[in-house]
Amino acid sequence: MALNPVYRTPLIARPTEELREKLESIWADPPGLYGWLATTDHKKIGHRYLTTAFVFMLVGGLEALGMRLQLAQPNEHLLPPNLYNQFFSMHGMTMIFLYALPILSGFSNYLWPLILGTRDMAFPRLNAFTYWVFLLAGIFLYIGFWNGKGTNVGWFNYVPLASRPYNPDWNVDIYSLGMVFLGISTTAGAVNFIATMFRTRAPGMSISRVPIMIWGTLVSNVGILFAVPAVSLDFMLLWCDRRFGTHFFDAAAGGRPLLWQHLFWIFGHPWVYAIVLPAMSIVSQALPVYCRRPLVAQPAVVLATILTMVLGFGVWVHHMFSTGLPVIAMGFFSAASFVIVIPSAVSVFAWVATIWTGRPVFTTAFKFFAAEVVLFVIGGVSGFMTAAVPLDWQLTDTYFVVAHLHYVLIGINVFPVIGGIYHWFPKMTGKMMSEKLGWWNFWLMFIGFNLGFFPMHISGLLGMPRRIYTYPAEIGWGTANLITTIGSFVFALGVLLFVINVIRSLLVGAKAPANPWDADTLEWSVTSPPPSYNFAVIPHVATIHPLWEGRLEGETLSILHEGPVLDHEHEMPGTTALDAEPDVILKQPSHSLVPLCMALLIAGMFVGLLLEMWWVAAGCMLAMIPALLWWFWPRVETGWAVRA
Amino acid sequence: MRRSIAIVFAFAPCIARAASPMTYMVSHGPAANPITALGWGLLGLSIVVAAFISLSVLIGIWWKRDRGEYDEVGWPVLSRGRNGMPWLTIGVPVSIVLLLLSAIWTFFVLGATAAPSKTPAITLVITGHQWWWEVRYEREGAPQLTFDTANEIHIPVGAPVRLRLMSADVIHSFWIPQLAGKTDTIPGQVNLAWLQADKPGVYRGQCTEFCGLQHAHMAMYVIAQEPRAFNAWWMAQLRDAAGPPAGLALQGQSVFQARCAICHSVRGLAGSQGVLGPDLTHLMSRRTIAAGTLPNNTGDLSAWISNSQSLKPGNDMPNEDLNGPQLQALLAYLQTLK
Amino acid sequence: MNSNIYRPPTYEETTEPRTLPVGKAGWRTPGWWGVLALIGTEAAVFSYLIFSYFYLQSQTLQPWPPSGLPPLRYAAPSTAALLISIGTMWWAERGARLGSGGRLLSGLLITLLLGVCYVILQCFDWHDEPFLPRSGAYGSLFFAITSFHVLHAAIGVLVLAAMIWWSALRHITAERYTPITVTALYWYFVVAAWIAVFITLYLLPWITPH
Repeated sequence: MALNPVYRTPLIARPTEELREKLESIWADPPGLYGWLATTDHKKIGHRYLTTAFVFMLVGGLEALGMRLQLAQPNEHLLPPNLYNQFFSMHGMTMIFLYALPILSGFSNYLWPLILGTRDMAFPRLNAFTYWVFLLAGIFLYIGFWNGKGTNVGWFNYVPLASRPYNPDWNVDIYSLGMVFLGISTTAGAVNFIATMFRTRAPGMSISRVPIMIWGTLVSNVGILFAVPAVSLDFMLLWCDRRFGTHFFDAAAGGRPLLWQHLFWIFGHPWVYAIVLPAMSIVSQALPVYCRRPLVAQPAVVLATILTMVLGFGVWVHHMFSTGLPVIAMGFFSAASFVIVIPSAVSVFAWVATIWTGRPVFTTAFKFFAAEVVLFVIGGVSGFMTAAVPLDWQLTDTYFVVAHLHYVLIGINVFPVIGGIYHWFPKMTGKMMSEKLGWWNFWLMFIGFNLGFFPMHISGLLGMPRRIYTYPAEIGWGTANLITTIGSFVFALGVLLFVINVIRSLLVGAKAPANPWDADTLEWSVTSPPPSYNFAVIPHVATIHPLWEGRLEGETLSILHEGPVLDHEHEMPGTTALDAEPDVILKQPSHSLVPLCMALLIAGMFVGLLLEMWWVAAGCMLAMIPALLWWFWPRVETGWAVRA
Repeated sequence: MRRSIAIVFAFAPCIARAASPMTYMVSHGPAANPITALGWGLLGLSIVVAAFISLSVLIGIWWKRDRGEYDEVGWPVLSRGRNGMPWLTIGVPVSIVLLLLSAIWTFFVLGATAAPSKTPAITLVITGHQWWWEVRYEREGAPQLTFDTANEIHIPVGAPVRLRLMSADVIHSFWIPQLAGKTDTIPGQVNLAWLQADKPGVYRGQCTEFCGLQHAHMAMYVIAQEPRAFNAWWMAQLRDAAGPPAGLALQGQSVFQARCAICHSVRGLAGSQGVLGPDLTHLMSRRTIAAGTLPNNTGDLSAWISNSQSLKPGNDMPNEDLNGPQLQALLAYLQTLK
Repeated sequence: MNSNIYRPPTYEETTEPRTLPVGKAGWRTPGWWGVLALIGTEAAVFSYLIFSYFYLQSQTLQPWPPSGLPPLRYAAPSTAALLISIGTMWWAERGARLGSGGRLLSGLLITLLLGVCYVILQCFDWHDEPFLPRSGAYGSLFFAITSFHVLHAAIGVLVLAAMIWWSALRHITAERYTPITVTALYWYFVVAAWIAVFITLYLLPWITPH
């Protein structure tokens, strides 16, 4: 019965082979199925996020291709209306909720501890739990699609069309419960990122030395914390209306259909920033690497990122300009929507200035990032047009808005994500991707995207409403739609080429050095792929560019190859929130099945609720109590119990 | 303002030629004209901004690329770089000025289009249904002039018309792009809007808030007429259906009473006060049927009656299982509803 | 050299070994940040519920609440119980910091009992209300808001029970008391949220003119 020591003075040393072997034995997952299910390694979880989200994107993409075939010509009969409505609803839901944020969570999960110079997230088991809930919620949201019970009211699911009298089947119940379910994952992930940011940065990485990639994700997750509750609540209330006869949205009994829209867009607009700010920060982080200089005006870009999120909570009504609100209210929200352009302009000018004053290297990743700048501006100015209330009365709910949102979500999310994969693939897998395939990959995607989505502006200006499954021949929308369909298939070909490049590189790619792009942040200071413990000794950070400072500052200030040796079980330093002074040795939990058990219990609860098998739901809830006791039980290895 | 109007006149004919009857980049009434100008203005500004940034990126990539030193792997040497701040210190203030000007213009347009300049004499009470439009005409101080119709709206040229927008079921959005922007019809509330046409013609519109299976087939037409023709139309619409017809049409009338009247009303016909479907009193005065889905001619009418579920799947009208003579009789009767 | 001029720490300074606490010690553990973030998100849910309440109130032409003023028979004593529990929780948490096991256990136990009192009183309140969740939008919201709060209090009670158990097993010491700090943080939030709910649902209808 050893006493659990309260204080320790860690040894300061250079890493030795012996130390690496010891750390490997401590941090590596146990072999076999158990290790696979129980891992809390942020790198494996990051991989899983990236893969799962990408698979969801491919599924959503196939749905989109189905729609494009149906719309290629007037009066087609490929998809009947009930299927078409499910296709566009599932497409929106998949891309916005199951692809756009999770893929960024994948990057952040993989990269945060490496960039921050530590060994794992603040809550490793919560991290595993977050992934399992995302996976199970994604499957849950798809359980009805194969037999016609996919959600069918569009991703924003307006009542009363989504209420029981107009939608009696399970379609919307699955969507409602699935969204509450998925919200658990999103929220838990946000909590984890915030605690990681404020508690586990490497010693010396004071708030001014935090790389911009971290800022984008942090701001996004703070936004998520306050935005996601609105939509979870909204869907919960809707489900109660549908199943228990409450009247939150029922105009006949004092409820209001517009309450749905307010709550939805209070969530929805910040969510847009939640799924683009981390992607923008990928560009801000990696674009300068290929321009061979630091980002221009980095502090201004960080402040602009924060300002965007803050303002993002004050513009939701611009999604509701045609609902008959008072003119004064619309004027206010219109002005706020104009103001939010300003921080975006800061980012754009900082990127352009970085390209302009740098000396770009033409890698595939650089092409994707440079393309992002252009597509962001196109998506941005079309958004600026919709901010003008009276003009929005014309533009809203036409294909102009469809064009706008795809320029935003593909331009500012997909392009940085693909570029980011080209950038970090060597680090994540130890293999280089093919630049030759990358050239084809980029140009097919870029040309296909613009060919596919630019004509949507035209069909929008020609008055084509969204979400129509067909249109008459004489109305003049045929040409634009045909070009869109062709472009979407070219784009799909580009995505296919990307998949081929990933698989090919995994199999036969050249071996990657530790820092193939000569980048500046800590993840490039360890081997590719990184060892299970990330850093053998804990680095001390003295500038924002630890790997560049010798060449930029003239002297090396950060200390990367000598530092505290923390080799008693899963240990990493805890540091203060602003100055990153070490003030505790954190004892992190290791592999565990409890996250998976909790996720399965929650899934069981939602299945019980969906099927109205109340005893299943209640049983799962009760079983969570012992599961949570197991999770939090004081243990020596988590540095709590007084004695073993 | 004047320049933007000039731009409108330069581009409008091109668009109008290419165009769809639904494009809002040309417009024909004071509720839409300032918006069209604003649309062209902001579109032009947007194109300039997007082109400027795109060119900057392209030039920034190629300009001076090859100057300077390279390191041992052939990449340009890492450096602090030249000062990039002028991009921000000039670019951001310029953006702010452009935004401010756009916002001011927007608020002028908002003020000009939020309400008509003179009080409308006519009010149309429009109720969105899945998937058609019910229209009730009301004239200030003359309740005896009220009547119901559907999917086709006649208005007098040069006078504002007030719209009171409601919904019988789910949210729809009323939109005649060349006359005014959209306003939603929402259960439990009445939204006000207005429109005015400055030249006679037929203006197409369509529901723009997703409203279920047949959202794609929920169009409507506004027919703007000279005031005299409009008043004549109103008086004609006000009349009940013509008295009992003769011959085949009389048989058709009893088919109608037996099979159709439960949902449709024909004013003046006993037992025909249905409210689930459009009022058919003057069916033959309309250009289209099924909310703009089909042209209104005998062939399409016949196809619609016997096969509406495959022409507009999911709509509330069942396929009427009529035999040949019954259908012929019914069509003959419907022809009398002028 | 002028000592006022900033200079980066020297190599020796940054690599000097430091003695650090191990495990759940230190001032603000990751758990503290985690629960703070959780409180942020839960506070947002309450805000949106209260927003919905005021929004529907602003849209209705009927009297609000439709069935007359809300009775304070149970709500007032339950508010008092929660207010007192702030003090007992604080007493327990200070006890943990001072290493006083008795203070810790007694404080936690009283807090738990006060929490249970609140939940029971709220059940009586529901039973006595003249409306049901299905009666109309007001009833739906009233039950949604209050039951959401009772859920939070019930979770708090369960956490308190776990803390009592672990305190009894002597896992809380003067060096490692942060689980109690974090629990206290959550409990203060439960009370604060109730005060917002109490003012919105029970007090405002009494003091605003109809």
